[in-house]
Amino acid sequence: MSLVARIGVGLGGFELAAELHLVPGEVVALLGPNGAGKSTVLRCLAGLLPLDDGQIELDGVVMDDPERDLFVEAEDRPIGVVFQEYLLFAHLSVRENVAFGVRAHGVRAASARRTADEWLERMGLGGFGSRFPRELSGGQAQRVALARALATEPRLLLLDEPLAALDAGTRSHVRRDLRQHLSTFAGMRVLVTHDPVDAFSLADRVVVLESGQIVQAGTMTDVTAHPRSRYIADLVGMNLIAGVGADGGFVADGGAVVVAADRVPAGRAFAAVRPQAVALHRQPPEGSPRNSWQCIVIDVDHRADRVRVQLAGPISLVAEITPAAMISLDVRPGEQMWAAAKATEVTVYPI
Amino acid sequence: MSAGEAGGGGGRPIRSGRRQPGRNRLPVPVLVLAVVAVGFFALPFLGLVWRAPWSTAWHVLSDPAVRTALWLSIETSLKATVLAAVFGIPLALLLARIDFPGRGLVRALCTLSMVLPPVVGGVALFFSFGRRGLFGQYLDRWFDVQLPFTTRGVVLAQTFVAMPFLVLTVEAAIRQLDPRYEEAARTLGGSRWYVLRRVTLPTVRPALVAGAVLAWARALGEFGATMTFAGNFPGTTQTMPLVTYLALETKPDEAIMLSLVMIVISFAVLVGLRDRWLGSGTHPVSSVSA
Repeated sequence: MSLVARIGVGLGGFELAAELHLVPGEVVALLGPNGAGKSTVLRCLAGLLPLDDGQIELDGVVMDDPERDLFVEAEDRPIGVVFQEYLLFAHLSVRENVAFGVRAHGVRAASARRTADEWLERMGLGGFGSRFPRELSGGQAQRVALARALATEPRLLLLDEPLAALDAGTRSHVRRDLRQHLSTFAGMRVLVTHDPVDAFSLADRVVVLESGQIVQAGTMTDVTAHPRSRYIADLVGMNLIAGVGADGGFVADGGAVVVAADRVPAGRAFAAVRPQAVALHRQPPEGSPRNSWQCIVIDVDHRADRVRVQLAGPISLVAEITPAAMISLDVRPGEQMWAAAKATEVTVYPI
Repeated sequence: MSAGEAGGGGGRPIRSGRRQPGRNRLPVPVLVLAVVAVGFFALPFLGLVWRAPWSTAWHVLSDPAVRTALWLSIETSLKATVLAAVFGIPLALLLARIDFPGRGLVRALCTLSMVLPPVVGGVALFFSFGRRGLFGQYLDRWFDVQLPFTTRGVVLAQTFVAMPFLVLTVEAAIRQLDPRYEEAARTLGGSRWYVLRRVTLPTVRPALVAGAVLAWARALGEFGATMTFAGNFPGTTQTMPLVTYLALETKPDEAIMLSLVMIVISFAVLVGLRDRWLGSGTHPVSSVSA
């Protein structure tokens, strides 16, 4: 009971090469920016796009192997998909939508409808059976799509941006519902998302995909603590500085020296600093911070009770300060400031 | 912009029926030309109504010859529509979905009868399906089936000219279909046949109905090919357009009444079906939104 996939696809100049391994019952989030190839991975797994290279094996059965000319059609794979915009059939009632796959597997209509009603009940949609998709809210449509996919009892469930179609107001409680309903499904799940919150709340493990390549994989805590790409660093709000470690010190690519408390590994490395750990000063700071850089304020972004200040200088940084600090320091775009960070707040890890 | 931002922006798609400023305004010349076009279609009917000998209406309509022709027209045009659907839907699917060499030529060939003068079509049918025709001779010799000058011949001629309307309408709809719905159906375990039956065809139903109505209307009005291929025999091949045309020479009053009958039938079907099945804004492909 596992998924072993080596996915190689070339789509008109775009090369995708990704490996995925899932153990039984595991939820893996495929995280990445738009156009990274996340949906393409899902289409390959679902059997909607044949591999050019590699192999997909589900529970010991080969689904796709171009070298051996093996390909199992989408309709013959024990894989369920919840599509990005749910793709409920508009001409069928909710009950018929959920019964669709069950009937496709040869179950008689009456029995399939009973199964559908059970699933709707389980999803908290009892009594919605005779409604039509256009009468549903986004969250309800998502649960119908989930019920429809699960009713065929797949061994692998694929979810393509399950929350992207929802507006911000409903997303958090739909995410909670989805988490609860997903936990009742014992099979493997692959979730595609560009939202780290989805990945964090729904998945055991994260695989980060960028420009068709896997740049990082691990638990969400691991990935956010040691981002290996600008994309992840931006997502988690981390300052990520690429550079070289040598002789126990770290030199950023622009030439600026960054001091870290712990021993710095030799060779290419990332230095990561949380924006909350970056302090702003009008004058060159004196005292314990070992790092200080003269910067220009590029942008000031108010976020609830915090202000994110974007800085350009020997290194680009984001500092997060309180509105009170912003006012007393008179932080505004174009101003010269000093940014400081304690060496204990800088983490350096090899690339 | 990420999809999440798009969702949070509050920008819901505008539904039809909402107020849309500027939508009800057209440049005056466009409006004038459009009204002229409407008049162009309305005037011939008014002419008929104006000249109609209403006092003889019942007399004409109760004429057994007219009734026979009317029923024959309805029967043959419905049969032709069924045939056009049975063969035309698969043809539309083939043209829309399968990329084979010479597809453009095949499409042109299958829709040629739409632009051909119907008499030419009738002549062509005669030399292919006639008793001495390329295929007709074998039909006659092996199966004892004759098509010219029979009711079957009328249906054949009507199908020949009517089917392209259905094929083109349905093909266009299939091409516009969002393929993701069929993909979703496949991931649910739907075989090709199951997906076609339960997703593809129901989704293009408005186009199926529209195509069938167009084909039926064309079959009902078919004159040239029928006359050439099937002849003009009361009770077997003399349909309403033929009766009307013949009446025009001898009994013009009757011709007017017959024309009005056909107009009323066609108009009723077009209006009735359009409002019920082809109403605006309920295209099933676009009506699914999260």
